Amino acid sequence: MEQEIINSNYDVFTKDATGSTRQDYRIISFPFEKYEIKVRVSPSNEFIDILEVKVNKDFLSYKQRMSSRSHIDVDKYYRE
Amino acid sequence: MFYEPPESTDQFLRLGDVVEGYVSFSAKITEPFLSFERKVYHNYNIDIEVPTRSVVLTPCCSIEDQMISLTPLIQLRSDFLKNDYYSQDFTRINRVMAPKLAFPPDEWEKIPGGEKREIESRADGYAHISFFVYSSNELFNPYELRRQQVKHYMIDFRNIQTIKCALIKTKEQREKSGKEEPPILKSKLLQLSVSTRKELRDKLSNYFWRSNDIDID
Repeated sequence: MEQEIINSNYDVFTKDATGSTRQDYRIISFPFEKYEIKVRVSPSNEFIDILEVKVNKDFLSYKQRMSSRSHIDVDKYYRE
Repeated sequence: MFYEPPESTDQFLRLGDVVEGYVSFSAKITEPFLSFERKVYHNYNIDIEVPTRSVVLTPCCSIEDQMISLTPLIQLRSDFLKNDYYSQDFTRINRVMAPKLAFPPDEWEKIPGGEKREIESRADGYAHISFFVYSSNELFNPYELRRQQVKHYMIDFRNIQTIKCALIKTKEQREKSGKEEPPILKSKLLQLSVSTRKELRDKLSNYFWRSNDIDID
């Protein structure tokens, strides 16, 4: 019992200490189609809220990225 | 400015330098040598020549350990003169361009309307991906293309060859002395400006960077 009180006081002491930021949540970022969504969840992974939705700039497929640098095939018109 | 002025040219070889005095060779075989059995006749031929001018295609930091990659300067294709966009400035071939500009006007007119619109909707890109044009210079001999005097030359990335030469220093040796051996320095004729060397590096990178469609799918 006495040890539990000591542990509890230690938690309060460290969490509320000057310079420490008390965080009873975690921020998780995950991709959804072409968007990237940041949500806040509790320590037990319960959904709290959505913090941010932004376009994932890396949503282009490898093929799309390759084709964005096109090559103009005109060599047959300039044989000599 | 296509070339670096002589007074600010580096005392060592760099990517894109025009050099002279290096041999060029071409090896031809009828088929791969997969067997040395007597009944298989291996026909091969190796031609060696000394081209008038060559271009250094080893990246600057890798010119060391007694070897260097070179490619000969060759004449432009006469068909480039069919395209005014090229003939006004042949070095435009070195840079990305709107797709329509890469077509000779006569050929462009023959393309059906729908296909034209599809081509025009594409992003700017490189035409003639293996060529890089060197601007005219007083050191270059003029030659005739379709009755026009031309002093531009070009390189073809498909012709790159490696030459071994004991005078090509190691990186450490070059950094210690600050310059190349006299014969190597003498072989250096022209150095590209920083911006032109970037264009060469970009186009050379693009040449090796392309992926085949079957690798993308």
